Amino acid sequence: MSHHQPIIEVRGLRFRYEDGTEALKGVDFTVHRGERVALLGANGSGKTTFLLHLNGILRGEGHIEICGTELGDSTLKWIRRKTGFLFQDPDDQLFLPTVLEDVAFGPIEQGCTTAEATRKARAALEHVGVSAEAARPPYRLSAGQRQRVALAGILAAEPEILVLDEPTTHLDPPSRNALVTLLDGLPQSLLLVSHDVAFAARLARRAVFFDQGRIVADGPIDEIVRRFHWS
Amino acid sequence: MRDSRLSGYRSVEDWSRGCTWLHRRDPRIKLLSTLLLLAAIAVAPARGYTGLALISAVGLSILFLAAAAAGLPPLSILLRGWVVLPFTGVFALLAWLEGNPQRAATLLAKSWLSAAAVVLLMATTPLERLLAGMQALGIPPLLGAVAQFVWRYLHVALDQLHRMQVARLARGGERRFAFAAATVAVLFASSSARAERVHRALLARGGEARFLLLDPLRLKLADAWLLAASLASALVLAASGGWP
Amino acid sequence: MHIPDGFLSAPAWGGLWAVSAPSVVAATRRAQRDLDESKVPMMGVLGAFVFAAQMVNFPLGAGTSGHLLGATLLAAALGPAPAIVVMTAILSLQALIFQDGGLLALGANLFNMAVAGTLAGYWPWRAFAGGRFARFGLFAGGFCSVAVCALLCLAELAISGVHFGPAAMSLALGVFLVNAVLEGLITVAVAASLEAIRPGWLKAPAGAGRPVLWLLLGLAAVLASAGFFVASTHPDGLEHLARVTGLASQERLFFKAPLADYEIALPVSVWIRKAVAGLSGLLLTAAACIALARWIGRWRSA
Repeated sequence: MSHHQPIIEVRGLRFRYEDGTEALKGVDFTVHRGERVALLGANGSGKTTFLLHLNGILRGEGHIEICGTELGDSTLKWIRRKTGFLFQDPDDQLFLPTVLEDVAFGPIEQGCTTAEATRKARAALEHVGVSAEAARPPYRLSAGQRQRVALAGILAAEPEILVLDEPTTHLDPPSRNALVTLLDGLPQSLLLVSHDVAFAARLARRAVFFDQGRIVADGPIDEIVRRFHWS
Repeated sequence: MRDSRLSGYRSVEDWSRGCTWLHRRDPRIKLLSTLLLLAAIAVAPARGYTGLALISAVGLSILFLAAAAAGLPPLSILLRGWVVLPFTGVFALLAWLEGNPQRAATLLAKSWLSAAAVVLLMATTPLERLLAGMQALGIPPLLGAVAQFVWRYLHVALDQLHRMQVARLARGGERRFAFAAATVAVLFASSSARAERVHRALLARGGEARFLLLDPLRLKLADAWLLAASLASALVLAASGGWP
Repeated sequence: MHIPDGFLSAPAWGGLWAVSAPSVVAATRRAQRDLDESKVPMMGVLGAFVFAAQMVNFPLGAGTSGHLLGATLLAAALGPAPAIVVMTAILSLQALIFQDGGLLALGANLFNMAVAGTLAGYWPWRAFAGGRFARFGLFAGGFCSVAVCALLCLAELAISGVHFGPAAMSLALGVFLVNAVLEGLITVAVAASLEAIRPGWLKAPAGAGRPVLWLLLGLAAVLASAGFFVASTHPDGLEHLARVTGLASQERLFFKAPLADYEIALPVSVWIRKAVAGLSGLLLTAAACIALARWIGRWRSA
């Protein structure tokens, strides 16, 4: 794959809910390797719905290419390996009894041996700074710690794209700053949905603005924020 | 709310993650040992009060020694048997009122001892290892997976319950039947929504929920020793009441 | 109703394990077959919900409160086989973590609450689901699940030689009756609230209706008769059992009916009298339930 080929390419994405409401009305979106993009917009404007199409959890009409591969039934598993999703509530994501096991889940799914998966998991936990909690069950950790464990779980699977949906919702300012430092040091391409514009601006230079199922603006984040009075 | 019991379990959970000889034994063997002990307690015939006292003494000693060997506070473990009192107490009282105090004492002694034995098991075995051990013994995997999920998300549900109750009280709502019903309904709806999100997160991470242990179960010679010791203790216990 | 260890005789807890273990395995196989794999999180999370909901106090006034068992709600939401699996998981966890119910006695508790209680809660609901009496079906489901569970619990304790004097027996039956009614009311109330949040969440499976209703009535008749047989004053039967188990003392179990309703003056054997009484009691209860359901319906829509 050449450096000029986008890592995410979406053309004409449409999606309708079961009850008929049109959630996405033709979205075009391109991201290049290493880019960081903030997705802004009102609640219900389609940001999260759009994200869920990128790894095939929702399937709409249109063309989606991740890492040069078209999204289809046969490529779902591969694409899900390449995209690391951090959902809004870490409790939805940490389902295994202990922290270490949960973080090791990704590598094991990819076929690593238990020894190698454990090694990768410990490395990821070290990276996010919660090594001490490795043997604990998730419910004994604070919200910020759980967030970091969820992130470790994704990093351990070595994705190429990171997708974060409202990561700062349950975080206090110190945890938020820690998250910024952490994310800033990661090489992956980053898609970030956040109402915390200051947080988004510290990480992403580019933003797209969603309005009623369409992307209505795509450009430097300061401009978008100013244009839509989004802060 | 039985929240206090859950926080009571917190200590047991901490204890369960120790690494003494007993902690390191295979959970299957520990489960079988516990069952042997429970069976011994259940069938041990007590010849009079002395017999009952002997059974209790032997049982308590076995548990005391095992707890001490596992580096746990023995008295703490033994005292946790009190949870049987609400149910057992009623029937013991009934038996006593009917003029059968020995039966009352037997009920109390046996159920308390049995509960303490289970506490010891849980204090030396992390829950997920125990569940994995049970699956290795033949429990259907679906049942094991559901149990893991239930335990994992129980705290989430209780947290939400707690928040809703606090919010309701803050709004001046008293404790009413209709409110409790509404709370439970909201919890149900929210749980269904959460289940959907958990499923999505699972999909995003690559597939079905698989509860693999990173440190797989392996039987060792030491486990055989434990089983032998448990069998011997169980036999002693079962016979102890019949001596006088 | 979680029986601890130390109560049941060996034949009782052994025999009940022999019954409940295969039932649970069969239910698991059935659940595995019927559900796709996305249902595992749903089963687990709803199981966590029921577990948590069982800890909620439903105030009844005068400082007392009741609690939900939840088998009916689970069965309505997931279907009977998955509900059995989930209830099994919950009861097992309760036994291990809270020592709520013994491990040897777990077989009995599973049979009472996870298997019989769930099925007894499912069929009444299913018989009336989707029709005009859907609410009654929910109430009846809740009522039956706890009633069946309680009767089985009493029977198991009686067989194991626990003695119930007349006062104790009436008290126990009274408590169980109240709990059964409570379960019915809570089930209906929760379902009604849910309907307001998410209309149509409980879809009746295809084919619900008449045959199930007759099956249900038949089962109820059998159960009432069986229940009274176990608690009957047929002295030979119970003493013989007591002698066999070898754990009961040689005292005679004397059960005097607490209310006149339980005796019908007919010139037939005691057992038949009681069975007939039981059946008429059941019919009276059914009539009361219908009236109650109508009243609840009016109260809800007010």
